[in-house]
Amino acid sequence: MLTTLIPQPVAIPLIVAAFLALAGQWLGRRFCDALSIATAGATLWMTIVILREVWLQPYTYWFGNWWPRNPQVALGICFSVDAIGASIAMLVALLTTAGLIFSWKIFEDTENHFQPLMLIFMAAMCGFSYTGDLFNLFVFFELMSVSAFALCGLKTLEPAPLQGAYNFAVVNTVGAFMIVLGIGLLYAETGALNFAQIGRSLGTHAGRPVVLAFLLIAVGFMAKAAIVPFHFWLADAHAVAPSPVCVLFSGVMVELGIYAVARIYWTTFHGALAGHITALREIFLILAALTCIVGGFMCYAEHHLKRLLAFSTISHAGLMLAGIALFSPKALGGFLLYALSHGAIKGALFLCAGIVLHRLQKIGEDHLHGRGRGLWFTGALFVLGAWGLAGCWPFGTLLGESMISEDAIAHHQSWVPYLFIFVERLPRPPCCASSFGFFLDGENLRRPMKPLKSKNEPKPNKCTGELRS
Amino acid sequence: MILHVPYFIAAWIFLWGLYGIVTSKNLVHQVVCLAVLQTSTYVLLLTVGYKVGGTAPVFADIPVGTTVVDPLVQALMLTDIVVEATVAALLLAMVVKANELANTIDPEELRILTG
Repeated sequence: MLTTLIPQPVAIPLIVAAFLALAGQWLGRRFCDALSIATAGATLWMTIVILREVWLQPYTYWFGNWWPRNPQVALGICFSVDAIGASIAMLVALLTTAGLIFSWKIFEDTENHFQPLMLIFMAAMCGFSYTGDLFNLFVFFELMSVSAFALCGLKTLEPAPLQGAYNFAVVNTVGAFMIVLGIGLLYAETGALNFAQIGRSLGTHAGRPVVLAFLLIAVGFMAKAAIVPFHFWLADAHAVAPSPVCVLFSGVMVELGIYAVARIYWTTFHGALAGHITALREIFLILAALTCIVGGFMCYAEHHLKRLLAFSTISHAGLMLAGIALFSPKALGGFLLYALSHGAIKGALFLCAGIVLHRLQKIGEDHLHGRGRGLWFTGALFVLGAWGLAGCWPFGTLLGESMISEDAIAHHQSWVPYLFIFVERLPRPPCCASSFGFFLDGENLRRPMKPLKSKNEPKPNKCTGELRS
Repeated sequence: MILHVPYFIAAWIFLWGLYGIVTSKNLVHQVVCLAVLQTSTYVLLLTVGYKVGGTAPVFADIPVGTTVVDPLVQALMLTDIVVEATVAALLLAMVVKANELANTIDPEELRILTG
């Protein structure tokens, strides 16, 4: 059963996306919505079944039944599904389903191909987390990137989305070409593209080309993960993209960049780079710390709700990089837990921000102060989400954080727990304060609700929020 | 040593492309710089697959046992070209739209306009 099921989370959404792009204009808005939600829901069900099947034993699926007749040489292309990849694919399907359901009422028109692009995006991310072939990893990476660029610049009637999507596209494409260069060097060294086969050919010796290849590939994926020299695209892209798209960007796309570095390290470079591990750990941890600090400080300076969440994603990407930068199995487990819970929480927060944007048409903090009292349920969810991001009980972030911290201390990097304290505890005041400000407005808490217009009437040209939203 | 020259050329093209992207004052020019940067990957992939004295890997009309260059990297390069064409088309479409809306293709001016 697994053999027929594993390629489906990639194949079915792609087929439905092609059908919707072709026939969507004659089928009517509601039918397209229903079909895309049904497809995403079916994908969610398939990813859950696959996760249950591979939970204890990873499974390798060979396309066209090209399984390696000679055990040393893999000529075919495979999906190599393990518990980590399967759980990330499940998160992808879950958030896409949530985003599509959310878009049911938010978008007025369908002429911009929103649903097909979302389905392609989901299929690419599922393939990215399943694949066991280095070049296919790049192909899925590019498919994911191109659909993400298009989704980001969806609102083509304003200049801001174009600007955000353009920056996003240029930075990520430079990263993608670094990955190709790395793949070329690795192929020159080993003559293979299958993860396991590359790992076996490399053995335990790493010359300079292998180290260079690893660095090129890692840097390319880190551009996707918004690690510090490449962080600036993320805030712009999140500020201009529609909220359901932000859910996928922050919830899984950034995590996938970090996951790819971990997957490549553990499947191919683990033996070869053993001699360089201390240096790599230092470099990656320093990058992680810089990312955390930049994201954390930018959080304080920001008044635009979606940009605030975007900078919080940058600092959390730094934390997740710290999780894989220790290069140990326990910290990797911590990274997975942290990534899954962060993805779900951040997705929920962006949907809350989307509700605020939809109801109030404004997203700058100055404008929103005290105007969200009618949205008490959204406000409660928002505070709950901020609580979860702070790594508090009973959220998975707490467990992931403690696993990474413990492992860091075991590797004599005792400053890493302070990084968690910095990112999770210190930026909470702006996040929580702003959410209380939006939704409650302490002074007027006991008075009967006034109509929205009577207080804090917004001044249209004061805040950047209005132009960007 | 002479066989290492293409690797240096690839690095050289990559760095010039990157320099162009960073310093460009024109969005169309920037997209072209991205394409220049990408040609470095072609050079590298072709170098990786090259064999001294090898011929084209078309097996219809050459005797068995002839040295050929590696066809796999050429397939990779073809995929790479398709990917780049998609990205360039999307980027240029965005530039056209930006020009329609803001009447400029200078990245700095566009940034000022969007606040």
